[in-house]
Amino acid sequence: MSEKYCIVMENISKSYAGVEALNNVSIDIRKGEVHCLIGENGSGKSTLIKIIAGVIAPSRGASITINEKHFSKLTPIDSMHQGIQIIYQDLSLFPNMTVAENIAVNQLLESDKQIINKHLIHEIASNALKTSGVDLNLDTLVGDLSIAKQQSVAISRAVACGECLIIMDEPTSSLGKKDIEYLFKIIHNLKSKGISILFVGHKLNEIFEIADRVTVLKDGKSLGTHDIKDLTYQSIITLMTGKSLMISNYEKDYPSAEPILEVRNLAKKSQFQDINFMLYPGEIIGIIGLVGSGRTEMVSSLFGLNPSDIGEIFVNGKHTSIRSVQDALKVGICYVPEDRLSQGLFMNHSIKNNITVTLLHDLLNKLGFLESRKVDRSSTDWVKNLVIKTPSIDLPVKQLSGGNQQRVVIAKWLARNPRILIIDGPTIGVDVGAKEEIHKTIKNLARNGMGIIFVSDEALEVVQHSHRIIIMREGRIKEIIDSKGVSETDIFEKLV
Amino acid sequence: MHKHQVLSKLFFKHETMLFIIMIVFGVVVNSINPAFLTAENLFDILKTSSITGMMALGVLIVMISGGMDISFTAIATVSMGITVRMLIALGTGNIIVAFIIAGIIGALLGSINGFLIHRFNLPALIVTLGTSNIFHGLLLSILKVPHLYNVPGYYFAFSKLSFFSFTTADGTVVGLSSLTVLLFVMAFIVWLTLRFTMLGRGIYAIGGSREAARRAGFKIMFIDLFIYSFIGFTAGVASIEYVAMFRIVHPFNMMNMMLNVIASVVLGGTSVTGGSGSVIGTLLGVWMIYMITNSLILMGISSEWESVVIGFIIIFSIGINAFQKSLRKIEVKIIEN
Repeated sequence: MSEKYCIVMENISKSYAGVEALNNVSIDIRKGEVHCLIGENGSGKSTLIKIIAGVIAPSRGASITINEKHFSKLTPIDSMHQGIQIIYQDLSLFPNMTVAENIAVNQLLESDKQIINKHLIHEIASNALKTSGVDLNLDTLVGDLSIAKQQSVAISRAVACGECLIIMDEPTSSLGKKDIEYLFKIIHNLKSKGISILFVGHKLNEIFEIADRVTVLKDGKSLGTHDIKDLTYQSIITLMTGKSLMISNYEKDYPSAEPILEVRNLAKKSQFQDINFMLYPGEIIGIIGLVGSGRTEMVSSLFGLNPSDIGEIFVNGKHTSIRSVQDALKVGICYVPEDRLSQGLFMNHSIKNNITVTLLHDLLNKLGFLESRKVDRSSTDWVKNLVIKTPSIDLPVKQLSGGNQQRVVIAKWLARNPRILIIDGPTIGVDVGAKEEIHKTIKNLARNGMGIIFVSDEALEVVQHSHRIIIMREGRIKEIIDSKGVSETDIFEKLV
Repeated sequence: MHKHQVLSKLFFKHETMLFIIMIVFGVVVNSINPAFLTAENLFDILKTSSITGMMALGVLIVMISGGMDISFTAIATVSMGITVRMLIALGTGNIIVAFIIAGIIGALLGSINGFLIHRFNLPALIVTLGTSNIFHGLLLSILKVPHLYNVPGYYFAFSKLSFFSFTTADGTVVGLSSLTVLLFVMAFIVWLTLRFTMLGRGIYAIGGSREAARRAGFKIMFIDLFIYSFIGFTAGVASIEYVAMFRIVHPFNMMNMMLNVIASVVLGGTSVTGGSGSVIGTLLGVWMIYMITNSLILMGISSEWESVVIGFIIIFSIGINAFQKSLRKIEVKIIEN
């Protein structure tokens, strides 16, 4: 093995009670490269990175070579000593401790020192910040920082003892575009210092921006490692899902009838102003804007969660006042929230309970008790309609994958047969294959006459899956454009 | 610029606010009854609050780690009951031996809590609620006569010891009680541990995020056992201080001290959810509570008002805490932009 490689892994397998999480996977990471690991949920990505970090041991026969040292398995200490660090998706920081303490903690634990002082902590921390190129006040409490800054703390911590490889598990999932650029700048900096990055990601446009090579996992097997130069969006999706999902710009195919929703002069102090637009039956509008553009605030006002100060809303030509969720539901507006985990689902409850929760009054028998047969039937229908992958409708939703959870939330609102469906972030945290499926579902709903508004962070998503695009900036609508003929880069330019 | 930053950091701290409140309170009370701000009275407050203060140090550590322990008064009562009787039965003993034995008994009982909480991942509040009843109940059922009025003289002799004594203007001799010195020594040890050892960092880390602490490599089991054993230890030591001050072994009186101890720690700025707290804050909190009790007596206000005033001050102090937190967030935003 030459100087070129930081880590070479061969014959990596792992089974859990008969289920093969990984099957004979081989992967190598070069020094100073950004290596992306992609795959659908359940493809074995997190198992693989846990094996590299030493949290799990692979099955017999595995061969791991790091810095010319051979291992058949790794412990967390081995991994740490070899200069491998992992940054979990939740960052694993201590919000009650300072930036300096958070950065220094891994190294202090590794060195097994018992007596410490502030000077030592600051020294370790400033060295790490120099390497990562991040500029932060050492004494700020991490809990007071923004997510993006917290992430730079997590990276600096990894850099303090990760001279060889830093594994990042979905680092961009809660970041806006500016923060993602900040993150990528740090990654480039680390690259230049010879540190390799193993980046587990979802969003193809980011991968194309940052990766040198890509390894695709599917059902526990590796579909090979490719240079990013040799790949296209289409080829990656085909690799990941095994299907050639056509990605094309959405065509306008609805008759221009009377608008199903008209919004005039909607405004709310310090959140949004001058909101005017119309939504037609069968139309899909994609709202895009940077974090802080007021998009979530604005759409929640249409659902009565955040009623506006002034403005008028017309549903099917009739003026309606929406001051509460009940008002919105009465006129057939439903809202699938951004944070499905805390606002959309009762995680510990079953799929069927979640789906039917908004229609309980329809499922009562004559005595006013819930008829379980009706509940079962109603939810089974929806599970079928939306292709929710689950062995049973009694399973608690927290056991479903992200994509399937999202479908349960959508099913819940679809069960009310809305006229207008607002979805905030339909595919957040969902892998590429499931993403396409969800949009297919949305398009089907539109074809049946529903008016749909979805809010997204990704220019690619709004370009591909909507009829018209509303671009919001600083609380105002900057522009409303047809999606036909528009490219992702056009949107990026308009956003800033 | 640096000096301004230091000042602003100081202002934002809970301990500073508490200190200012204490001074204002003291001045106000003193204007009503000038006996308040006298050396004799102040040293008396220090002395009577030491028992609470000792236990508060244990509660501080537990709360920083995000845990809870409501069995410490039961542990104290049991330690007291066993230690004093044992030494009487053995016929020998002195105050130092009493402290050590009570401390060990307390630590052992506390380690039972620590084991149950860590090993079985049980909620600390419920576990200690259970063990509190078990420990106290066992003591009462085994001892037919739980009160003990004839205790050896070395207990009271210890509480009479005083250091750095001097004579005031009107002739009274005043000095720092041994109980207070003991509190200061323990407070200093706790402060050193929290600030300068990885054990201390570990306690804060667990309080901040238990999962992150586990992943980072902190020895969680060791730290959990230490925390609950330590509060048991301080409870044991406090129980002997009780005997020293009141010359009796009482099965119920220490149980009633629980609320005051916890209130002191919370008043001192320790977050109930874990992750923050300081020795200085806890000491100030303890002294504040006893200042209130003492001042009510001096002002001739009936003692029923004690709970009311303490309740108000706790809510007020948590409110200030939340306000300062939001101020900090704004400060960070300004600095970042």
